[in-house]
Amino acid sequence: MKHHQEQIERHRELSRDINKVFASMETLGVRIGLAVVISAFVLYLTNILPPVIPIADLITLVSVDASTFTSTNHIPVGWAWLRLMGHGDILSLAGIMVLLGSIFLAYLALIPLCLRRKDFIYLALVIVQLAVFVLAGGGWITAGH
Amino acid sequence: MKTVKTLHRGRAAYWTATFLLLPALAHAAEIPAAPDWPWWIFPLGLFAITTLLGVLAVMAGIGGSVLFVPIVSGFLPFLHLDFVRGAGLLVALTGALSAGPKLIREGLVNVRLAIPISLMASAGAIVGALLGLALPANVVQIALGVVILAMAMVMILVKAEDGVTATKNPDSLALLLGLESVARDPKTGASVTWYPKRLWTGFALFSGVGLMAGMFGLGAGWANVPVLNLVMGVPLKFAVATSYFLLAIADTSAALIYMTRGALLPLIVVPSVLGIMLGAQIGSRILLRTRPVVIRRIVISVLVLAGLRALLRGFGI
Repeated sequence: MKHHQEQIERHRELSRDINKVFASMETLGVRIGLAVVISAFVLYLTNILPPVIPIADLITLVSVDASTFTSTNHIPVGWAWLRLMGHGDILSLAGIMVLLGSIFLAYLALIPLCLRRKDFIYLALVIVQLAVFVLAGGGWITAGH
Repeated sequence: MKTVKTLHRGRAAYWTATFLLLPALAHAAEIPAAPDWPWWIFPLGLFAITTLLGVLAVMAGIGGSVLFVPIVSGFLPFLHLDFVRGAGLLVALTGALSAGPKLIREGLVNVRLAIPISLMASAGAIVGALLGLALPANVVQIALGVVILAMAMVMILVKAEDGVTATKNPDSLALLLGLESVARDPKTGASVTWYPKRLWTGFALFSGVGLMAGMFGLGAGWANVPVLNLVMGVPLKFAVATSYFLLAIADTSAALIYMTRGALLPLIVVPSVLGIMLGAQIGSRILLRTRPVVIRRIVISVLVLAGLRALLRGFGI
């Protein structure tokens, strides 16, 4: 009974730690991500940082699927866009990446927490979730029209 | 007298919404080319539409992306569904990330439950995103129509359970994962110890919910909350908060797929995200002065029309 109570208390402590990590990372992610997105978008619209595809042309090109759009307009797929950060549209993507990255970083920060609390089941779940993110972002699994 | 006036206003808004969507229904078979507008009308128009959607979504108690994908793909038919779904995911994700921290700090998110179900949902979301990008647009349109109509049915028929029941015999998986929680029963005010139930069924359902979120860019709060509340026995308040948490995780996985395949276009994503956020702020202020039931009915009607329209477009009618 005492062991069960201790276990419950350990679970609650870990939950509190996880809550803190997620609350701070999500707050930071939204603030920094939106700041980058909005700044980059203004630079994009005002043509201070010219886009890869001019805005006026882009509107006429988006009636095809994403795969055709990227191949016919030579738009970088995967992570190749990182090389084109000097363009307004691509820099806006970096802001979006900050939003997505905040979740990834929050999960990464859970690893030492789970280790400290010796919660190996949740450690395994966190690692698998990180692997799922890497799989999604890695571009190894493919599908196309 | 006040009720009659509100009803009249509700009907007027309903017919306005119907009137706005009817031309779209009539021209369902056509795939128009982009109109010859000055470029700035596009982001400005998108911002205006999404601000309105943000207001409606908050007042109807649903996520913005649920309205975003069907309505924007209806209003801007020259925009391929891939880009609308990508933006829809970002709309859902930003909403979840904005609401998340407050709910997490208040201890309403059951993270020990959210972590395994988020894993199932994000695996489903990846499969959904890949399917959505691989299947022909008309197939996705038909499926989207069916899902939107199903969603409207869920909104009409499903009534959430507000009470908390103490769990006498928690299942072994719930014990293994340490899912014990304490909640205050809103009816009696007593503290009740509860465990989520039917975990395996819940996990399977969340894979499906994630698949839909990834495939259609809809977000999935409309499905998350009933599954958590009615199937897994999670008290309503915790179900809503936990739904935001897992939306953020599942949508991140799907959005990574869309991003690395060039389906996230800042010109569509940024005005949409900002519009929905502004609309949500305005909506939450108006909410105090209106009858949410009337708004909810209007939104359900709009969803039914949008679902029918997606079906018709999918069948090329």
